Amino acid sequence: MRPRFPGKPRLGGPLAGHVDYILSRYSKAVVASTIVVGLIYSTSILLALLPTGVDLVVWVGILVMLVYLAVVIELAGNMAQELGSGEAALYLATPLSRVQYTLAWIASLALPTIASYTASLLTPLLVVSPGLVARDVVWGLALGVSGEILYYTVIITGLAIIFRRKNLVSIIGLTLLLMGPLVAILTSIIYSSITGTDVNPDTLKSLIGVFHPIALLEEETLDFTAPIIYSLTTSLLLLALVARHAARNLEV
Amino acid sequence: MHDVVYFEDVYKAYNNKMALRGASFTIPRGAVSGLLGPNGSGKTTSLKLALGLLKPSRGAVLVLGEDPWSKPGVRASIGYLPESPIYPRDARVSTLLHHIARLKGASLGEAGRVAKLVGIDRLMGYPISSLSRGYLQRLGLALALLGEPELLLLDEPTANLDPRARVEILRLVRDVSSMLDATVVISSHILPELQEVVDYLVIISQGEVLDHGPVEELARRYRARMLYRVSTPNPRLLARDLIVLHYVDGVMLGEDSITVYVSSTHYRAFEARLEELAGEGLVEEYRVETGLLGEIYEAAVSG
Repeated sequence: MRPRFPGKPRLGGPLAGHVDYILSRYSKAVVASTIVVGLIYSTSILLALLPTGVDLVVWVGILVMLVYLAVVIELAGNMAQELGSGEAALYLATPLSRVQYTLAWIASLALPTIASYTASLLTPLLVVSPGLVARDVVWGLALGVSGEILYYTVIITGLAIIFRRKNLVSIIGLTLLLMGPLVAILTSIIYSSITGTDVNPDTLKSLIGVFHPIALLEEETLDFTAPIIYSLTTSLLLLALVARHAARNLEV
Repeated sequence: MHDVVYFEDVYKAYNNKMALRGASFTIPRGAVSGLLGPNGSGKTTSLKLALGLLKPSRGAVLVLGEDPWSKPGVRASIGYLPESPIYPRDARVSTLLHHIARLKGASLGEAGRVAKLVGIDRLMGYPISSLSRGYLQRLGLALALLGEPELLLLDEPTANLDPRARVEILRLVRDVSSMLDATVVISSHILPELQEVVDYLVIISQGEVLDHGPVEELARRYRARMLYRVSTPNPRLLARDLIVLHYVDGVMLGEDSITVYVSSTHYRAFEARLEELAGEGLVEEYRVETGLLGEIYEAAVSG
């Protein structure tokens, strides 16, 4: 006689459950890293950047974003390791689908990082000068950085699924993050010297924008429309590709 | 459909190496089935295909009537114990157990009951890294049992265990499979272990399924010896009567029963003799325990 266990509560479904699990396992690392960087950024906004105007907050904020992206890349290595070692089979042996597994990792990497960045930007502004929070440039920065964090998260998750090796994913991710713009500049210079033409600033900006969409911002007016649209649309497109790849090919 | 597992002409290739070649077999509901073959024969691949962790290169795999690769929901009804499970060693036993319970739609109460059933309830607060191999295997069994599975897939459940832990795990497998009334598939290359628990067999070699069916039927087909368990009020007297039959190869005495090794070519004559003895009150009941797996396997492999 099969014993009947009472009740089978859904408790938010497999996707939400796995996001919760990943965050509970790695949240210490995310919280520790992002709080330290966020506190430094917030403090510098209060003490040095804000007195000189919002522009400096924006430029330093873009640099701080690189540290957040490095945290995302480092944590994505854990997904690669989970897939490479076979630990992922524990979770995929349940009704959790391959796409849900992938989306859970993307959400777990992107959401807390975006939340931490936005909080570290908005909190000091709200404390010192709440009126600044309403300015387009502040929201542009928050959304632009959020878009770029999502963009990198999706790319790095795709790399984790393909390569399944923590160190390799970290190296490729950090190379894209730091060396990508340099490669774009060098390629542009080499192309110009071969063709005998001047480097076109717009082309160069677009090339750098492939690696860092935030580079597409309008520098004079600090308009973030272009980076926001580019990073979000490209992220969604890449997300669809990564999810499709996971659905079709993610064997463990 | 009555078959819980259905493979039809299944091929699976990894890196240009063929792990399964046209495998076709079925496993009926309620069977305790052995997936029998040497290392590298395709047993783990078959189990992973049945769970939907791998996609067949060609052919059809159905489990509980669904394609497990494209319908992950069916995995709520499957319990899986991998050969070498990799656990998050930094996590606590309770964290992993509760998480898998949640993913399988089981309650936390069920997680506690399953932990108690396999004897790890005292270790719920411990980090997984502190568990011995035997307890890691119990944890794996607990994870497999979550969600009241209709099908249990156990890949070499006693691999890398010491003899004592091996006996305990086998006893647990036997107990829980009968308690859950689940269909069980056990992959192993250790024949004596399978001999004790299975009533159905899938014989696999070099990626090909050589044969499958109830052990009793395979024993007759391959003329392997069969084991009968005969209940009797007088084991010694019954043993003395049966041992003289030319097709009886051996008798083992128990307290209120005897186990008899019989050539499968003479099972009808043997059963007729048992019926006669039942009429005389010397036999209370009898049943075919199993066929000798080693002999079945050797005969199947040699064609």
